Amino acid sequence: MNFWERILALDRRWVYVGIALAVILPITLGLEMTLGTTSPPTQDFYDAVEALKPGAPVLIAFDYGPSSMPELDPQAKAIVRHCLSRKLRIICVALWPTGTALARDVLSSVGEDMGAVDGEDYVNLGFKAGSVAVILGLGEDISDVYPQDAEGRKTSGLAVMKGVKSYADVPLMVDLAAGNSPFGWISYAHERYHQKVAAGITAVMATDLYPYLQTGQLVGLVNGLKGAAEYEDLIHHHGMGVRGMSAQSIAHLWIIFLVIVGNIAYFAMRRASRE
Amino acid sequence: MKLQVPLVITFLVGVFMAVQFFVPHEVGQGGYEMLLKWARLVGAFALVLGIGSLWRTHGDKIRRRRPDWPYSVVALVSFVVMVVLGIVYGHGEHTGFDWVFRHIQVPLDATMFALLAFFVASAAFRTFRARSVEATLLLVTALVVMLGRVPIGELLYHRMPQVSEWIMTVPTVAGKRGILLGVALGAAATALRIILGIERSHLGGAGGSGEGE
Amino acid sequence: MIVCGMDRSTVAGGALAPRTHHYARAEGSLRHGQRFRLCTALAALAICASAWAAPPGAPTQVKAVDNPEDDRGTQMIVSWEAPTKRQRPWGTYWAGYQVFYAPVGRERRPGPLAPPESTEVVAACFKPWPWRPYNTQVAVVYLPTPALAVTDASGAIAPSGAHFVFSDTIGPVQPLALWYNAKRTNVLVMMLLYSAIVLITIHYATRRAEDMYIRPIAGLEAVNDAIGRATEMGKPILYISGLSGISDVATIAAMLILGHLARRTARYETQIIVPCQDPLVMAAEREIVRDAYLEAGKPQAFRPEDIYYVTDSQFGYVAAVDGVMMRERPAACFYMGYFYAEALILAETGNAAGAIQIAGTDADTQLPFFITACDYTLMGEELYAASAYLSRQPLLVAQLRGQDLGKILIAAVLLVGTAITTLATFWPEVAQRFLDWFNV
Repeated sequence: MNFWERILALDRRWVYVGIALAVILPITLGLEMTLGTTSPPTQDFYDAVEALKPGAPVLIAFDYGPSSMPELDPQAKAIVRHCLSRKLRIICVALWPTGTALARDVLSSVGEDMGAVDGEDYVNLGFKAGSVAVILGLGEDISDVYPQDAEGRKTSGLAVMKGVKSYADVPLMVDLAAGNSPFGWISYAHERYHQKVAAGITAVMATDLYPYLQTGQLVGLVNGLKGAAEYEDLIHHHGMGVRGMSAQSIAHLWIIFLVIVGNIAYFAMRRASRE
Repeated sequence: MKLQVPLVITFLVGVFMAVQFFVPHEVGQGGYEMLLKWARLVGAFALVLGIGSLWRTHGDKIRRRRPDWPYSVVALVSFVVMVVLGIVYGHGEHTGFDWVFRHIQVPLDATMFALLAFFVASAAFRTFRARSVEATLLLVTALVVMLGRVPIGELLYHRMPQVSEWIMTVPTVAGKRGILLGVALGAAATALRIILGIERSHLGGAGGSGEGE
Repeated sequence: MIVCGMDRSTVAGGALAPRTHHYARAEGSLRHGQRFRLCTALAALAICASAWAAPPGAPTQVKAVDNPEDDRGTQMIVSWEAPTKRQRPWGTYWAGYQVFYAPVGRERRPGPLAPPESTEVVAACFKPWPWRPYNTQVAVVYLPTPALAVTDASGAIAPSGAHFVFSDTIGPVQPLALWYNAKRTNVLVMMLLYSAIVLITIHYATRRAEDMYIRPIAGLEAVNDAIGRATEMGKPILYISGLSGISDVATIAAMLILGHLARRTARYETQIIVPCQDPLVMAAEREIVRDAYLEAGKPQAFRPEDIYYVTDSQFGYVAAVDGVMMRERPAACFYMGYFYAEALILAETGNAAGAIQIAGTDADTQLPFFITACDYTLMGEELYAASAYLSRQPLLVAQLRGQDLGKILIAAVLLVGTAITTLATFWPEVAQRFLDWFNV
């Protein structure tokens, strides 16, 4: 077996070791990379939040599970931080059962950091089954769909919910999603109730949602870990998004290296077989 | 009867669902919501079937001491523990259910998803070859997008993110729309032939559409 | 002044006696504007009557008109004028208003609440024709403590001890509903056109279906090879029908393919393992496979325990299926239906297990992963064509022709649309009218 044959027959576990090192080392060593230009969809998202008046309520849906946390938690934290810093009121809901606990974590950690008070500055209404029915219900009466929040408090009695009855009182809705939920929010909340919708999504979903951005059905889009990093940069508070960028950069370089080496080996083998 | 009753139900429900889309009246929308509720109810009862299946599959494996049966014990014990924690102690903050969710389910789920990074690397290494012009085009595009999605790409070429963004928003979306149009037509045609009873193979032996070789 | 101290049961127990009659109902053919004017005029009559007879301290000028933004016909805008604050009963606090409604001849029911400063509320508690019309009242809600009136989980006013001062009854009134959403005419036209094309093609092409050319689909050609390989090796076939649930057409297409596959595996008594993520899909697939084995005359070879429910957790399911692959080492893996991020994890594990892999999905974001890691991939609509391809049934094959004609129609519309959008530079109004027609 010659060198190139050995390269092509490389045990896949070596590839895995390379990826593991590419991710672990930059994070443990605290390597940070300078971020370049902010992509337009992230900038649009940021501008949409900036355009809200202090005290305005923002509805944030946590429609993801633990598996997507590495991409979506940094986004969620950055967006919640931005909203709280602009004195916006945050109302969280979840179409995924796992979203309740994830929202609770994000709200309590960022809220504590920002000195925000649960029930006054933010509320976690929790999970409600029914997906489309929930989206439609929020357009009629939020406290009908959620008579109580995730902690069992009466929704209508909370200070954060004062003057908030339905989408008509919420100038912006944000969907943090790892699945099909943005289509539901766009189709029902936006189309039926003219609710402004922005989304934070995993990178693999981006191509699905670009058409909605082009048509204006989405006012902004934070796309994957890179979007999270850009958002953190915009609010001048670096977190896991920016830190993850160095790991992602090196992992991408490792994959590109593997592809190039694989192709060199392939052509070398092809030439050898021709000769 | 075994064939006709399901066909009639499928036809009536299918036609109603198509018609209600154009009827904003309470009759249309109320009926639609009622059917959605029925679907949820059927789903809830089906969950009982699912749980029964889970117990039967793993119970059988344990009883017959099939290979790897201890894993089945773990599956069933985990199931019982979660049900007891959730029903007896609730699932709010600082409950046992919440603890298991945070400290077991979250890392397990994240680990499984993280496997994707390893598999992407190994699949790319194994199969990404510039065998033809089209394959080369695909390969180069992939490399550009990968570089454009990380800061290092911008260091190599300052317009890399814009090029990457353009690839994502123009050619990718164009191709995607082509696929989606085909998918939409295919899905509509499949729905049509099921509603009209042309396609019956899902009804099994009673309505099997026969086999050609 | 009429002051009523009552709890929820007494509110529900009273019957509304109409003083005046006004109908907000009009024929369905009337346009919104006309209907609105009619309602307003009729409501005005009601106002005069109710103002004339209103008890002191109660809301006056009560009106109930159809909500023109609600096509469904379940909402009315109930408005009133507030009584003076001097008329408040001694020792009570003004806590808001509540709308009461009662279908003619039926008991009164409490409706929505409104804060003290409001003078109208959208009440979404009505039903349109052919239900009975309603009598309506508005009551001022007084509470013994200074608080905003709210309803608790049972619908009763909280805090307890509420006093109501009722307005006169107006009605009967009825909201209006639309039977047809004209904004969706474009969808209806396209739906009817496409359905007609498919049905007409089926009608005419069925007789010539056998001669009809179907583009060879490598993935489907390989199905027999995959079954043959599994049979020769004495190993099972693993079939995954996506993760999107039974309501997705892709899952139904996957179940159709499973039916064809199961008939063939039954013939060779090859084991087929179907782990399911949705209990409804499991129940349906078990029936499909059972019937396929019955049809093949091999009911004894059917193993219900091979079609089982795993979990609805996405990655929990993937972990379980990966485990099955590594333990059972299936000779062939089929991935048909809609997939999410798990697509590559499944396909790479199948590859590591040495299985021949055939995938089919309409999830365009996952197609690149399947193409990379599987031997054959059915892309997009090929998944829906698979049933016709595998069965070669004339009706199904003919329908593929209809699908192609539909595609030509859409391509033509796209071309015309592109041309008109380009021409919009010169004739913006004409072009805009064309483009507006396609708005949903």
